[in-house]
Amino acid sequence: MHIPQCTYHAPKSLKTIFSLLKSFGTGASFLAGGTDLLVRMKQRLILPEHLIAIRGIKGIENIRYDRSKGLYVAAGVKLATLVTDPVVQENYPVLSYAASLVATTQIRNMATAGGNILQNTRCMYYNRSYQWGKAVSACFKRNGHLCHAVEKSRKCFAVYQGDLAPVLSVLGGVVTLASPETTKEVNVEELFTGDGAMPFQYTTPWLLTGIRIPPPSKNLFSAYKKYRLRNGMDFPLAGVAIALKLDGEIIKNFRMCLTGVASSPLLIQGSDTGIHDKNITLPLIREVADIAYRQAHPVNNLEGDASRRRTMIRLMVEDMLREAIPGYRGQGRGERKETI
Amino acid sequence: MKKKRQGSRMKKYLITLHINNEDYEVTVEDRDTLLDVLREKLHLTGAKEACGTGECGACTVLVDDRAVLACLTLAIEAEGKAITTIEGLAPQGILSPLQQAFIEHGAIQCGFCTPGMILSATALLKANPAPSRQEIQKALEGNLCRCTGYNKIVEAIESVTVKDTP
Amino acid sequence: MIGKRIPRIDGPVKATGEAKYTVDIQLPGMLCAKILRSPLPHAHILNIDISKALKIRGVKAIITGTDAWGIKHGFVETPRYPADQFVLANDRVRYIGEEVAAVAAIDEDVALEALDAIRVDYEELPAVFDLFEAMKPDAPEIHPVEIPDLKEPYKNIGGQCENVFGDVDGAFAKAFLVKKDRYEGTLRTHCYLEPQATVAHYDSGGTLHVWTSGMGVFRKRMHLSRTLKIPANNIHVHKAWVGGAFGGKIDLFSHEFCTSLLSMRTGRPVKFVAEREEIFSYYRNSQPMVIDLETAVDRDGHILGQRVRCYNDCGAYRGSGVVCIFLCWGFVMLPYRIPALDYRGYSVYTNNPVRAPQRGHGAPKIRFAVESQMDAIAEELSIDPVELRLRNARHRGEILPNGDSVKNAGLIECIQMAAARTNFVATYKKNHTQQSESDHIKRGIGMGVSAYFTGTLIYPNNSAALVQLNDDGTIHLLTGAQDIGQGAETILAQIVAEEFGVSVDDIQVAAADTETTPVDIGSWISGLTYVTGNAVKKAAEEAKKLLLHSASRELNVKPEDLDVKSRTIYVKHDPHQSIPFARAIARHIREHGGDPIIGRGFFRGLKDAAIGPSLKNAKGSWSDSYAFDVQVAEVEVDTRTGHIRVVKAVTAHDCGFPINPLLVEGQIDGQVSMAAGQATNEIVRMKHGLTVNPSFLEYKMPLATEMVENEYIDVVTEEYTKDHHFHTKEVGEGYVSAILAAIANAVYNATGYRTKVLPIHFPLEK
Repeated sequence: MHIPQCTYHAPKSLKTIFSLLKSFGTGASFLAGGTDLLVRMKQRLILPEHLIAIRGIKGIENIRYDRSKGLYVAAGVKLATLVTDPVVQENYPVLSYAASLVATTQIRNMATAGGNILQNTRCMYYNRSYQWGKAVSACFKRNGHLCHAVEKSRKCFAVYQGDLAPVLSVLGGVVTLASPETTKEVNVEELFTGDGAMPFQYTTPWLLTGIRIPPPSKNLFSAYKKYRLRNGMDFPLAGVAIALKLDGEIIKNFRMCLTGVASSPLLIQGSDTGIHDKNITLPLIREVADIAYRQAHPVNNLEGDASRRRTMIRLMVEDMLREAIPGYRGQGRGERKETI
Repeated sequence: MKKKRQGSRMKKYLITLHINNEDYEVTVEDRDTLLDVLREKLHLTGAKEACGTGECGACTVLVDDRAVLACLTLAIEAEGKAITTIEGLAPQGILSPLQQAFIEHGAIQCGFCTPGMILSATALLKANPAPSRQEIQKALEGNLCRCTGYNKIVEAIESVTVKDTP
Repeated sequence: MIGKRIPRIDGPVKATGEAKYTVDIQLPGMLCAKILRSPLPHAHILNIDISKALKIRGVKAIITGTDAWGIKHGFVETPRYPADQFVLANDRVRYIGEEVAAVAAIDEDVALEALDAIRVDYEELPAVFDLFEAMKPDAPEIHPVEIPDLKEPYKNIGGQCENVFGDVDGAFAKAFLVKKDRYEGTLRTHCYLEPQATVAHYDSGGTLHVWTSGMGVFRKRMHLSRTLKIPANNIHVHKAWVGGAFGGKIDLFSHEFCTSLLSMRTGRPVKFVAEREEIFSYYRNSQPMVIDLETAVDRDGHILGQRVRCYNDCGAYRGSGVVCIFLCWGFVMLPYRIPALDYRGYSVYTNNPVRAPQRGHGAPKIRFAVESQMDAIAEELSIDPVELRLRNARHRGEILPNGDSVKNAGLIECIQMAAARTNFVATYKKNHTQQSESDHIKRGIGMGVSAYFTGTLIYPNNSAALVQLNDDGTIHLLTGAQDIGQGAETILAQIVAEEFGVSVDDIQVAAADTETTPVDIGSWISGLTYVTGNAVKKAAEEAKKLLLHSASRELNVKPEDLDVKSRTIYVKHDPHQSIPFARAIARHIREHGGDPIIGRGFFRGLKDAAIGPSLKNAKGSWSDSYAFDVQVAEVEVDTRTGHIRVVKAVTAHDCGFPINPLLVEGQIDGQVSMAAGQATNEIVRMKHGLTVNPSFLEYKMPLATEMVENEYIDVVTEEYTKDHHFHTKEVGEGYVSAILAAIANAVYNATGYRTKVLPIHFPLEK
């Protein structure tokens, strides 16, 4: 299977990128690791005439850590680097862990942090070649008028299945975006529209150039759990990241972000749950897990049963929060555990 | 979805790929993958296409000692890197310890996954000469095999840990 | 040599990437072929307009059904089940993906563009995808029913197999316990790593050269000869390594015909390689089945009788469904003594892609049904599962309902040894009592019993081999055997090596080439080691006889006083008297007017039978020998999440004797892996005739992280003998079934949940 014909550019500066974009208009896509884009091109889901690679930009693979400023990961940093970089492992082990769960060894060597955050939403009926698509009517995500997963639906249910975004979100991550006119920083969760067909708020000409995570605070407990059917390769059928600040047994700050169960990551702030300043107890944990469960509404458009995925959200939240109870395991910094 | 007419020929470039310690000059289009070049232009058919979409690992090659998928690597982006294919593991016909171990342990049946599998294992052992069984399994999570159940593959790799790195 | 763990002789070429598979074949001027497929599950073809496509620069030829002489082909071709498939659809399509046209062009881009430019006008017809719906009188007719002995007014029946013996009603009337259940084995698929691929080149001498990823070159040649109307001698199917098949590459595929015809039209080599999504969606997946099983037992658990109804969804054409329903009868009656049996199997057409055999071909599903029920019976009668099986298992020498003998069946030993090695009964009981404990991770142990046949009669019905001695004493083996990954060439080389007392390094194997190697039954009928192996043995024996005869004259002793070792022939009672092979060979040539030493061998299973067993009523001899195995699975079930982990498998198997234990272990490992996948996560999801998870990402075959720990117990019941053909029993397909059943039984032992459907979807508490 060949990639359709296109022209490749590897500009060395943002200035050149934007001038190229100006000439090509909507016929251009950014190319990072290629593990999402090139597959969809082979399937002819998208046919950009021009690929603008980000790899040539100076500093696009930088990682910088500063105790006061936190972590800066440029968009082109490979996932494998996030896994093994000592600075990430030491200060944000949950990020290193989440990155290690993405796809396969080979893909982690190719795929980038920016690309993983901006991976397109997925669905059984969408991520198919255009030949396969001849046997079905075009759905919303394929510029059609229906959804094959949910009969009579008026919207697209394609799923956001990124592993990094929920973790970055609960850690308070912000992304830097550059456009021809300006640059800005937005919270990770603000990147998403919540719409399966057009999942991103900032499309070309906006370019995600990097991610910044605040310095880790002392009593921060953070963790990520991923549900998939096999112990490798697969996207999350459901995933939850949590970040929890405890003062003794009292919850001071809490954020939880779901992935794999909606068209975007679903950030749930502790302030919206009423659990701040409460003691972390088993009944409270069950309440939080219930909140997460109620926010998740997966449908049967992936290769796992939707109600099971929803149940797993509840179970994963319970398991992670239990481990956060002081004295439960003696740990507080996010666990390195295999997936369920 | 708009389809572009693919009839017009795209521009070609002469690039140099450094493969198995040799320089190869090839003419490529922008969209040619490293796998296309290896198999179709250089007749290095050890790297296989079993899916083309990054899900099977049969096209695994090493780029600067790291395992990557040739089917999703653009050939022009592979310029300037040190590429190792299965054909490069046995210079002068002397099999690497891993290749030898695969043969001796019965880790090869149909052989289609074998080049990718051996290269993934080679990369693993280079970075981690004494991996645990779990680490081996995790490193190979992207290399599918339907014949062996992976048992003898893992045993073969375990047999060359620490003492001989390829 | 026999019984030795010899590394495969094709190991080095595969470990270095030198081995050429069909996908690697490149010929000068080669064109790229692509296939246009039906987007509809059921429709009349009103018109195909290829005119625009032909005008595209770079398109060299386009063919449709009208180019194909209307010759049909099929997996079986008998009077009862005539061939029913066209190589390219003629006036009707019956499944999404059915081949409608094929294009040969200078490259993939142009070929794909040509496909888009072909216009096909369809008139859509109502379609049916569920097998029971398809049987209803008002179902759309996919094919007319032509089964004269069909009793019920079912529609869309592609095949029926019925076999009744004993007093079934009487057995049920006097039963102490009757269990009746419905079991479902859903759709799984092969996942061979090498895609379906063919290269065809019709040369100017009128020879069609073909390389194809298949399971038997002679069978492919036969199909191509018939559909292309070319005589066999003008078709040369070349040797290519095969990247896995597992039953999915046996019969004729449209793309094989199309590449051949396109090459004939263009005079250039043509290559077709299927995309992975194409394979998952439109090629042959396995045979899904619904099984209604009723078993009557006495107070001690002895089976008195069984009633079995198998319903198989064979897809839009007959395919191998009719074989599958015959085999299921066999897999019921083989392991346990059944005095009375009422068996009926139906193969039902639906508008789904045609199905194919997949490793086990019915055995996994039927054994899952029987073994699940056996465990349930054991529990109800308070007999332990091992004891129950021992009471019913066939003994050595028992005669089967079809008249075959199980000969040296080692089933009893398999059960005993598997149970002993795993401390089965005690572990089973312990797990059972721990079901109610609070730890949500439960452990379970389960047992399954299965049996398999070793070759039968289906074209080609015979294997032949030639053993040629080279002047220097090295040996050439010519065999039509196809190595699809199982190690056929190594096994056959070992047999020759055994006869001549040499190492496999002294033997060169030339295999699977219809122009230069003799006929072979192929690697899809579970008979290669037995049938081809014995043909090879005979050829080696004949060559050795000639060699020893010349040597006896050279050394002035009787041939029976001679033995061989390391390419020398020596006198047994005075080993210093010896000559190298080369000398005896030279003498032979001298004394026989130039005749080199060539040994000729041949073998056929069921030598007294004219044909194989009847697919209609299972009458007749089936196989020369039957393999038995017992497998025990240890699982861990997380009852909170529903995750099932197959931790360990113990396989006690009677394969006669292993010619190469290393290769046998490899077969066991692969089959346990397939079964573990099928028990837990493997399912081809279809919606209205379309596969919706057609990728390695979404079809969950096991990864390295799902590896199962395996133990092997060899139960040796036969031996390799000189001067007589040997009895091995198959190892390539039979070890999927018992372990699959064992896993389901183990899940029950762990949790009390008994599944009737595969894969197992463990229910969580609300």
